[in-house]
Amino acid sequence: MSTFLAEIQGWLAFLDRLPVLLQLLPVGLLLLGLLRLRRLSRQGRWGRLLDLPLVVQLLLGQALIALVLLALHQRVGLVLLLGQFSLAWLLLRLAERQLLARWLPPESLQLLSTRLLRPLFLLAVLLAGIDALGSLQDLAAVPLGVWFGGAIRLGDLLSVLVVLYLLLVGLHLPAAVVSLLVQRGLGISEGSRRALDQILQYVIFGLGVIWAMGRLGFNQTGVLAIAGGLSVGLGFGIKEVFSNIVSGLWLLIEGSVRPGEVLMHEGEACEVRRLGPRATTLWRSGDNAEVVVPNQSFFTAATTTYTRSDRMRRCSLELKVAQSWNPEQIVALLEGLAADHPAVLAQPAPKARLVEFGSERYGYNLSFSIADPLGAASVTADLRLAICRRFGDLGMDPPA
Amino acid sequence: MPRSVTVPSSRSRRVSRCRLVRRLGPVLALAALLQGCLGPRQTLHVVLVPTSRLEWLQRDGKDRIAWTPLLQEYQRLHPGLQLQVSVVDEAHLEETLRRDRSRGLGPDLLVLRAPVANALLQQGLVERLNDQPAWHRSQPLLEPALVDRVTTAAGVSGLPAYNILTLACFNRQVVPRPPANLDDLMGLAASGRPIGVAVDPIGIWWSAGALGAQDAMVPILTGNPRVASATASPTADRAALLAWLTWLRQLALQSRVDIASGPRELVEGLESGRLSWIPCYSSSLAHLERSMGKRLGVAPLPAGPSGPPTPFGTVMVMALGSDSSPPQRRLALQLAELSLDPLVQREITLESLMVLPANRFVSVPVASSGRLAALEQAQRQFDERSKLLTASFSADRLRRTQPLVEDLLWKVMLGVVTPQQGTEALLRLSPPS
Repeated sequence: MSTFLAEIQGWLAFLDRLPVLLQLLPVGLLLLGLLRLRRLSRQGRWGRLLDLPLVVQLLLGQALIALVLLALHQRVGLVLLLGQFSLAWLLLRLAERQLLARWLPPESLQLLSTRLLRPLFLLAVLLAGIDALGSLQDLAAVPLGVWFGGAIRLGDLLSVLVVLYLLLVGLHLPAAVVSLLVQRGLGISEGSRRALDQILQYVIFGLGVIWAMGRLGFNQTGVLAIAGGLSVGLGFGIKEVFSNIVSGLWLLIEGSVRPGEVLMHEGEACEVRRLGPRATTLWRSGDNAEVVVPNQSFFTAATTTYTRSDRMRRCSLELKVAQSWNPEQIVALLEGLAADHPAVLAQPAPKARLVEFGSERYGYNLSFSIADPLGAASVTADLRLAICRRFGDLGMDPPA
Repeated sequence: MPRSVTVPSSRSRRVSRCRLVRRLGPVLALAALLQGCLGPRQTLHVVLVPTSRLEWLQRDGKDRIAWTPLLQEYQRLHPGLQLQVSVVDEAHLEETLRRDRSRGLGPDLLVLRAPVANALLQQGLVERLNDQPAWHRSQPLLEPALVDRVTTAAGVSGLPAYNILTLACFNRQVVPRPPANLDDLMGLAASGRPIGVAVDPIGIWWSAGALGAQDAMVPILTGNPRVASATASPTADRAALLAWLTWLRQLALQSRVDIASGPRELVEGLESGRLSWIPCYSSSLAHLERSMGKRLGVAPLPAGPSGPPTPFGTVMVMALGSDSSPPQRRLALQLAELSLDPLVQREITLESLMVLPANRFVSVPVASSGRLAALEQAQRQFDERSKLLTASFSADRLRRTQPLVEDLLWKVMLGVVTPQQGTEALLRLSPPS
């Protein structure tokens, strides 16, 4: 690390050179000036120029500085390099706004930009900067010590980290494509496709980790020995985390909790959005909330699912009606109202029952089936409203 | 009356903090730049250019360079100075220097072969040294022949620091006594001990001298016209080249002779035990010693019917970069001048045991080291037998002709073309006299 810091400190010595200052100072002042000007009023002749994006203004300014320096027979390489960075950033922004925004939904575009494209841009700028100031090759050869029997150099470690990061954030698309192809080829269900998608990501990332250990020259025996020791530590220390990871893998393989399935969580139907390595993300339609549940809870507790063999959900509605009304008429009325609702399935048919005799009111139960398990609350509310309206039309007291 | 105190909200605190950062940002940036101009830092950017075709030694070159004693001594004299050393491959040097120069980020000092420094000076990528008082102080310490090697029409390209030569490296366990002449070498191969030779002109140069072909080969390699002499004639050149190529063909016919594409293959062969004798650069001795230990033997190259061999020698020089500020230039010159200090030269020689000093007043203790004795003998052979090569020449010509000569030698040794055809082809590469 001290070699690395000494290398960076050495770059400052370039500031002693007049040609370097003649290039850096105007660009620095240009940037500061542009930041200042953007806060001023945009009236007048230059107002339109100030409406341009900052990076375009910077690029134009850098081009002007380069021309002036060339006219004065001065060096311009650094200005051109900074201009290349500005141009690359401009192209990236254009690609994001004009090209990718047409094909991708906003959430996917945001993820792609913030997790892949912009970090890659920053990495490229960083490497180009280091290569300009020093030697990437020499910096990559800086030794970091011996880990697990392998002599680690800065370059090896960084390249491995970059590859693993790219695998982590860039695997979604290829895994999704492969799982879609498998779904089309073999006709597997949507839940199985999502499970396959996740498993593919885990497998490829796992292979990436194995490659990384090989690349860094880790001694496999040493890694195994340490893994053995760690497993004892894991048993006492972070066993919950470890247990959740193992539970997540097992749930994926078993297929009992898969992305897209609807299950009951704390009395409310939720859709499984994502089965992560540690926790499962559920979406609760009632309040549009995302609930993060540790995988272990599904592994150790009973889970009610509406989508295991089919997606049909049987719902029921309890009500009490004054005993003065004919129970048979009430049963027929309730079944008729349920059958009229577009979300209620014809088969199995809605069924109303007289379930309780009270001193003043009789208790009824209406059960019906719906195709979308998450729609139970809204369909039930619709039916309650329809019942109240019909009772009113017939001059009956509202049900209790 | 008690005064009320208004506690600023967290939002207003955040806003004022942002304003502060925005206002201080430019000031801090300017301060950093000014600190860069006026600060007390001292850093010298040095670029090492390892000998051509020894690129696999680059890391060794940086980790265990021959001039470690020089750096230590220099840092002892300038404790606050930071030396930033980077390694650039000779093949990419010109491109790297042009790019860095366009940005004003070129090195302060370069350590490289004299022909490469000559080529760079002609292209304006390094500064000439003869304007500097340091050169006039150092010149008397150098042999005139060494001065000639760094003197071009554009000026002096660099300050010679040390010499690298071609030697014979062998495995002591397999070859107890190194071959003294070409017949012994052939006998060694015939006795079943594997030997290796490289087709690159630098590596095979020694045998040209032993067979009298060196005077014919020098113009081909350097592009300098043949110097007229009593013995020089096209017929003599043809006969000498034919004798050399015929011997190379005979050598290749031995089943235990390995024809390598370059020094890297030879060194790896000796390290692995696949080869027992190879011609080697003295700059690769540290690398070989680390891998072979006491098994490594070093000797002068074998002589031939036309006399001693002509080992290839190259002088490493220190050339000035063209972007340095005046203080950086002063430091670079001090470092270059210090490299000729007798004590430093002696330490470089004794600690590395793979280079010879450029300062002619530094004696090499040959009695105490067989390796230094071999180096000294190789230097003597080089000085006496390769006078044309000791003249100043540009690396550009060598870079152009090297692949052609290599290909031709390869074809002759493999029997693709006859020695006669090879001779005619080599003569066609000669510059017009």
